[in-house]
Amino acid sequence: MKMWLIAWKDIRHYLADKKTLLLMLLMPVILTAILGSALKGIMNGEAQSFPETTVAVSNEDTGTIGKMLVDDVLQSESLKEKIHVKTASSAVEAEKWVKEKAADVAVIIPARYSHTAEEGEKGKIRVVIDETKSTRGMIVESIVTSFASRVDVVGRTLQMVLSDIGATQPMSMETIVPEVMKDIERIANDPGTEVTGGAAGKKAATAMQYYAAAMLAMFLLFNLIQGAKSILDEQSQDTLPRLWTTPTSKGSIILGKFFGVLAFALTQFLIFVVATHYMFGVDWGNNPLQVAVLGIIYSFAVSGMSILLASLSRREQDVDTIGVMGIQVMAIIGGSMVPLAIFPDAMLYISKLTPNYWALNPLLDIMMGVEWQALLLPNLILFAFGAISLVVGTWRLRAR
Amino acid sequence: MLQITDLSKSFGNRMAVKGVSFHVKRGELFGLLGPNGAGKSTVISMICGLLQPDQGDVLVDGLSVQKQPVKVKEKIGVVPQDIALYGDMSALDNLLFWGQMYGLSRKNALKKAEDVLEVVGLADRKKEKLAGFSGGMKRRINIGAAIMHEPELLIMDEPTVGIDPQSRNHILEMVKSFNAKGVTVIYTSHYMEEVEYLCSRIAIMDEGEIIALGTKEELVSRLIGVSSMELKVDRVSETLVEDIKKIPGVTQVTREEEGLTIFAENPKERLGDVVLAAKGQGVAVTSLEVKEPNLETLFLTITGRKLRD
Repeated sequence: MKMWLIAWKDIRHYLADKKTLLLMLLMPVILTAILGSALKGIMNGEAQSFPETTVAVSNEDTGTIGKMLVDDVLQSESLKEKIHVKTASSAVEAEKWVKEKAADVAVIIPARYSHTAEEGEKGKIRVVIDETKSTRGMIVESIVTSFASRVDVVGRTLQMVLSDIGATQPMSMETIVPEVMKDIERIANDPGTEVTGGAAGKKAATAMQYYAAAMLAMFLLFNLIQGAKSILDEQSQDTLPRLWTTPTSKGSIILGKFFGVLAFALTQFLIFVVATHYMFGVDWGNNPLQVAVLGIIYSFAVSGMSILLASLSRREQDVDTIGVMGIQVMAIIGGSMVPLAIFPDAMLYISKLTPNYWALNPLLDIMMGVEWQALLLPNLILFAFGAISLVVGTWRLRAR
Repeated sequence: MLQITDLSKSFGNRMAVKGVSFHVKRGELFGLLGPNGAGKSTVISMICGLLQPDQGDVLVDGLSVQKQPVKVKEKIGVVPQDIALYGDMSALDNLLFWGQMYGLSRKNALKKAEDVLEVVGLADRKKEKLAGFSGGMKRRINIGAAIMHEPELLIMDEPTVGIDPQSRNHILEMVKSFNAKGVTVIYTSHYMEEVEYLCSRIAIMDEGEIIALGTKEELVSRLIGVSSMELKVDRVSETLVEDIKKIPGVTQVTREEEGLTIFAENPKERLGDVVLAAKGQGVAVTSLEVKEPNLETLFLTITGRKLRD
């Protein structure tokens, strides 16, 4: 009874906060619509044929994103027979090869490109084209632009949401939202380009389907910060100690906080699925029950993790530090920024440590028409994420 | 109603409460007086079950806080030192929430909240969000939330800190009226006047210990024959202190910022000697006043410090 009272109070608090509604409910829907439609054709397996092309690559970036562009995009399964990559020792050498006709196109990835992308800043990749082979050049350029735009927009949006939810720095929604929207529009006007092959299954997921699942998996992670901050906020406002003085067990109070986050995560999940289905025609598969069960279990997982995060943090700033960093890493390696299909095997292995991987993959499987049996493992793993986090977090908070 | 036995609590190497024992009778208005950092809030936190004592026990109506915390908490209403309410909720919603957290049904909580809003004088603003309230108004709702379930024991931890005199008076009158209705009240404060005005029995705490305990009359009677003088001078020297200490009947001299506090038997008879001592040292006297004994004097006599130091 008292547990539900606390949960209801928190839900009312979340729903009354316009900023939370904008960031948690509206932003993922908008982002999915734009990314999905802008990048349509990317993962549909409709690879256009183009002539064999030699690409001189100068990669001065020491991070993962530059390497991903070279190894997993330009040399992906579907493109490696057409694109021959020649590694140049410098940008000057790559350009020289193009001038000397030793390469058709030069792709120059600047130093710290990964870092700037992860920070949500614009990194500029240069493409130098041999004018006598402009068709080849334009195709390679659009492949690179498409990849860079995706990284750019998701990175910027992620930064924006994190910085606002984390409140690590003051920001104005009025100035940042239009800026991000302008970027998104720019991508929407770009022609879609073939980059990677589709996921395995009975039928391939479209770009819209992929990004719907990816954004859903990513935006639900923000409940980690939302939930943990709610507890620490009560602590700093002295309402948590006051709750402890009521004739209510600490376990009930923590569960009340947990159910508040869970209810909001479920609302977010439901609104997103319904909105993307009816507004953009996203096909979530033929089995709504499978989507619902996965949604409940994934929401359970992020809510449990929010309790653990609260228990690991003493102050709201700690949540910002641990949560923001954690979500960024999970969004990148869990497949929300760039498709899992282009991840090398080693990265896929690491991806499996993130909860959003275990939400994104089965969501794509459900879209493709998968049996219940195939969902057992991801559901069990997500449940374990939630249950273990909830038990450990509750134990730590009770002992505090 | 409340029995505290040999209560101790340490934080790291610092012992915040050292073997405190006292009892509060049913229907009593009991004051816990002491300067900031004396250990009052730590004692209160242990009574409320917020902190586990390292040693000793707290019994509320015969029930141990450590062994039966939920039953004990049903009997207690706590007014925390800081305002612990939800700013984005209305005054009414706050009272409803806290009432229900103490087990009231929504229907009963609604009825009780209307009564409490009348008591705290904010019935006309019940639908306004707390974020727009003044500090004094928030403090009144803070108290209202603690009395929603009609507790047998009301614990008030410095409930008047940082508010205007009008709200302060309103709160003091509220406390008196709760007690008049039979509620046992423990009132902690570092404002001597409030405790003197409200409480029938008082414990004075300093550095984690109870240094004096009794009725107001019992405590002041310890100072019979020992009143104090407040001497203000243009400069204080050690030789002046020594000269005044030598005056017959002077029992204690403490240095203040602008002068000295001098304890003496029949101080009115020593006024001339004090002025002469000052003159002898070439010190100009700006004022000299005889003070009637009170709790502040008692605290000063025992600790050599003022309550608000």
